[in-house]
Amino acid sequence: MNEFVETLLDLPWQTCEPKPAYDVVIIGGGGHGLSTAYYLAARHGITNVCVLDANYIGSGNSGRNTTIIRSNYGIPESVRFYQHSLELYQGLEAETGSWIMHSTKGQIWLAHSVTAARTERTRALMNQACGAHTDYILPDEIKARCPQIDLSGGGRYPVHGASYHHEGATARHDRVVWTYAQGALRNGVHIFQHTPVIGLVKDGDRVTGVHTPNGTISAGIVLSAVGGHVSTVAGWAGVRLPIRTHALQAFVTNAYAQEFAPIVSSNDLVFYVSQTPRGQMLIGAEYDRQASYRTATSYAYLQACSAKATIMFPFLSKLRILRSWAGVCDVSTDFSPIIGHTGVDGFMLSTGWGTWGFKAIPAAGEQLAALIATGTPSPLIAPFGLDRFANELAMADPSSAGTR
Amino acid sequence: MLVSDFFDHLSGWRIIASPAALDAAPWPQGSQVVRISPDDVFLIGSEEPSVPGDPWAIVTPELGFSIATVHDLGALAEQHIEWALPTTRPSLAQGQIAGVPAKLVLLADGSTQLLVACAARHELQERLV
Amino acid sequence: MSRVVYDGTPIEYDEGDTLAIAAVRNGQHPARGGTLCLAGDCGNCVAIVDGTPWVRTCQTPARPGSVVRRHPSGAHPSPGGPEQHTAVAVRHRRAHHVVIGNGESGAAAAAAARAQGDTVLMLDAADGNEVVGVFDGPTIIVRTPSGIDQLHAHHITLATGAAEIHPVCPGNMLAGIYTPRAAAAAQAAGVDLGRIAVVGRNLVAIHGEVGVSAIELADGTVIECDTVVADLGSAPRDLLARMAPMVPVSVVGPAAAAHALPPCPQEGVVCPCGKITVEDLDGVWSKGFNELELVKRASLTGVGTCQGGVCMPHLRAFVAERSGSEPQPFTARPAARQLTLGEAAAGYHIDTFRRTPLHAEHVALGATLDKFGGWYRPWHYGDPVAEYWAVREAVSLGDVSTLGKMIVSGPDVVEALERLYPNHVHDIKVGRARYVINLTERGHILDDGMILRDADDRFTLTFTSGGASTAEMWVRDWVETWGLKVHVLDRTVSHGAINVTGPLAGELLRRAGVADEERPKFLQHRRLAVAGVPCHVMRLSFTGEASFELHHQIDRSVELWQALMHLGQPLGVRPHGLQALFGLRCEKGHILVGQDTELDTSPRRVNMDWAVKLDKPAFIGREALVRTARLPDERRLFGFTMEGPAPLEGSVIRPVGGAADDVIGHVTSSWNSPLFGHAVLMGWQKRAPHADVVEIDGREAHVSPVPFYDPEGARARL
Repeated sequence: MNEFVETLLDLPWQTCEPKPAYDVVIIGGGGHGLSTAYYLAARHGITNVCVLDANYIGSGNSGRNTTIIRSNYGIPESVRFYQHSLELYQGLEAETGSWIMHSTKGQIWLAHSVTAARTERTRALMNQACGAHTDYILPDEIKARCPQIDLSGGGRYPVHGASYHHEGATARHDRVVWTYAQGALRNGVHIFQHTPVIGLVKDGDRVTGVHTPNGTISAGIVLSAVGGHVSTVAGWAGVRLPIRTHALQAFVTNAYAQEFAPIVSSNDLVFYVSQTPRGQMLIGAEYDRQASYRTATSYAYLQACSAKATIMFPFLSKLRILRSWAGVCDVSTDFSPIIGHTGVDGFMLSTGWGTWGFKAIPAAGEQLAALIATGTPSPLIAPFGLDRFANELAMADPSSAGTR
Repeated sequence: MLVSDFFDHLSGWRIIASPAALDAAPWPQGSQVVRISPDDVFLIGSEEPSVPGDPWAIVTPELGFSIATVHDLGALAEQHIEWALPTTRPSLAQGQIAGVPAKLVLLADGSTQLLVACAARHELQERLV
Repeated sequence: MSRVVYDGTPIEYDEGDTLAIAAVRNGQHPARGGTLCLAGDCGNCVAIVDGTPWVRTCQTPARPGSVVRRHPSGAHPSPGGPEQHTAVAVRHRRAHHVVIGNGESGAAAAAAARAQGDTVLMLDAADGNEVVGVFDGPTIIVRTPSGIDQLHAHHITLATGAAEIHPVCPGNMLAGIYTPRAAAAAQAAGVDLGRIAVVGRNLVAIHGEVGVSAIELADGTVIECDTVVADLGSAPRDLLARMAPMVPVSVVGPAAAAHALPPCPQEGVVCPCGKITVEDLDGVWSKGFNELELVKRASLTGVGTCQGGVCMPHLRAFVAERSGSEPQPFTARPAARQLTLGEAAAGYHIDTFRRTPLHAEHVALGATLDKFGGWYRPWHYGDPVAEYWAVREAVSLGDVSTLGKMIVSGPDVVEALERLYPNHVHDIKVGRARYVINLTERGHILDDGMILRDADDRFTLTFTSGGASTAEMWVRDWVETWGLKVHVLDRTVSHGAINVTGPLAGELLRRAGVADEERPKFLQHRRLAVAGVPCHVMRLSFTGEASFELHHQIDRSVELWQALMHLGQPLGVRPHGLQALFGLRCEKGHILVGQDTELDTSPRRVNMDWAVKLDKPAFIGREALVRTARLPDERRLFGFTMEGPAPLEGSVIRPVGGAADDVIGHVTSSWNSPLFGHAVLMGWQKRAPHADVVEIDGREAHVSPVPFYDPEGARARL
């Protein structure tokens, strides 16, 4: 057996059918739904929980992202939240005994203009103040950390400097999903795959359960942890969300020897590249401008991304593209997540994860579990409630969101 | 050579008016009418036009474009244009050429002009060489 | 005979050989082992060809002097170091009906299409047209010897045939195993395959060290041989169709034929790309990964260079036996046939950076130019402090050609502008101008600019350089939505603009032929000839000094600039760049939209309620502002002063003596004021009560009223 297979932990599936009622029903068996289930059971002893997924676990955005973990955001609330998540990731293998292939690589966020350099300096200053380890670095240090870079940017995008996020990391996306699934199952949580939720059960204004093709399941609390179709699910509860859904594409090359150490992003060119533990170069850019639920990939995207990446990294031009894919991202109007109460009793949300959901899986799950257990959002997630939009307290952070 | 050297500042007039007024306008003799959209005409020529049918018409000099002559339209399209060219002449085509917003004026005599905003002329020139 | 160098050894090849054939002709496996299909379906012949790893040698013609190296054993090839990008040519082509594959089924499909009057283009890898992907459009991406073709087609027929199924058994990664068609191809090329054993599903094991020495059959028979030809049937080669589920593609012939799955694999390598064995599949199955997608993701089968071409039938057979039901193939991911990034990048044009009509003047004056809002703009001309003083004490020129500029006219123009802008418009007199902000429907600041009235029913609008690109769409969308009669003409790239600013600006205009009494007063505008150039002269002020923006046709920009520089020489004129400009405006407390505002900045947060007239019945953002006016909002932009060097923009603002992570806001603009000898800043306090003294960069900063400079605005009216 190869190492990748050998190190997998068992998924100890429950053998029963869904029970008629649970304390908590979580819609969506991706990283967010499963981590919430895990922390509910492991930290709060709330084990009468079931997770439902329309497909197999991790079949949505959890299995379609670019696996980057970072906390170099632009507003204090986000830096603190993502830094906590980054630290939970650092400890996740020790906590669960499951190898998620976590690798701290450092993230270089390039600036090719005076204005972009200002943005990156600002990022470093804000990060330092709020507990994330980020410095502004100059071209010499960038070259030392990443010898493959063309600092002249093909003559058109000269590198002025970069913010360097020391703790930027990656982990294997599927294994994060499975780690939380294993942990949840072991603690008695039920997970049902291929069980779509087709509606919510309501008692007056209150949500009291979910409809599935196999019948209804009652719930003390229904949590939507879906990605991509959250507007539909929230609509069943009568909740309108300030969310638009866009596809995000990315691609990997064939596998090559490990020679590219950091994660590199570009502020002006808008692309990012890293090398996966399996040796593939992983390249992405921003989400498609056109709102859509499609997961098809386009040639225009491959073309644009390849062109941008090869400007800064000419060596990439000889590398071969293996596969591209797309996820569907729920993007909120302020580019920050929406977590917690919805104003509808019995119905909670974890959404607005746009293209930055993977890095938030541990912290969002942990804090949501605490919220469900205690009824009160912690300071880490309190700023990210849905009511912030009505209350003119948006968490606007467009320069950090992107997908970089 | 796909195109000639660009000539800066194509001299003309820009007229924004109601489509009906533009349809009926008596354009000065010898000027070339490029209908950019139903309410928008780029008139190549030096004599100031008038649009009697629309008292609110905007009529203003237009010196923001550069012009070049296309030598080999087929090769230009094959190398630099993703979209399909019009199949009839005279006609106007607008879109990105080598990634730069530009216009192609396909004249009845078989010749073709390439128009680009002066601000982006250098970019287009570099990309077509 | 010509030669290629294969792993350091020169080998001879015959005319027409691919690199893979050349290798086997010389008794070598092109890679390190594994079944050869010689049809591009698998990854068993990949090698580093002329420096590029992962090249299918069976699809690559041998050329004199080609250098081939095998991938390192048990490791991945190096991605290579810094080197130059070689551009790949691209062709955009069009065709009515494209048939991919010119075998029997392709020829039949082509004939049928032609009979209906279609023009048909046939593509086949053997003819040098290697289709690497089918995408939306529909667009077919084809690799040819001269580069990449982007082929736009109305109809696509896929006649790619079927791929032969590889054997899975112990020893299946040895050298000397062929599919029937591969063996035939090798023999047709005159390759001596030695002793050949042809087997079918009764094959249970292949023996040998590096190469095949014998095979073992189900009945225990052992046959000694040099070459195994495994005849296990075939599976549709429909990867291109599966990659583009939304693109209408007809699949014909063997590519569309039903096929039987092979028997469930018992032992050996299932996925040669990843060297994944049956044991690995069993491992993940036993751990609870019990469906095709989970088996794939957990074992990493089918995600290698052949995209599941080899393993898919076996993997499906495995899952079918374990689960009792036959799974559909998983989605295929573009691109097939391994496009390089260099090939994919071909034909892509990066964003344009525009140049103002004065670009050459700035270069000649030694300006440091930088990209700003899609334009190249002068950041400074070597001495930003001297540029600052020229504005404050003499006269200076700034190139503001990048400002958004628009003419609007029509019977409904006043109504339209009243609805577009939160400020009053109807009471702007002809010849007068007003500063305006514009808002989103959420009541957040989108941009700012000026409204100048040219006639009762005609106005000139300006927008920021950054806002210019979307301004026309913004105006048109709304005007058309409301059904108002307004003509719109964007003049951003057609009009140049030079800002003449400083206490001697009026004097410079006088020397340029503008009589004192002709000069517009503050917030007036007029059409005048300046140095003989017809200009729309707008008297505004961003710098805090008397300023005249001279808008003009761009064919006269250079002439105007040079005349002003010349006439202004005795007055000490010099040009100023953005750096000085941003400092000057900071002293005046003028915000830069996008720098001092955020995505959700309402007017009150930046103390600009004066620019919003809620008594107007309707304007974009009004409903939101009325609703949110009741809400507490602690976020405010403040002016600050502090001693010592100006802190970096972006520095955090803390309460005095507060904890390190107690962040109440950050600095948005910061400037070492040469005039005041201390720093002037703008920045956020995002929670109440707002402090009068805060800590920035470890030092105290004091809230200060803005403007810092000339609060009465007397200088702008000089």
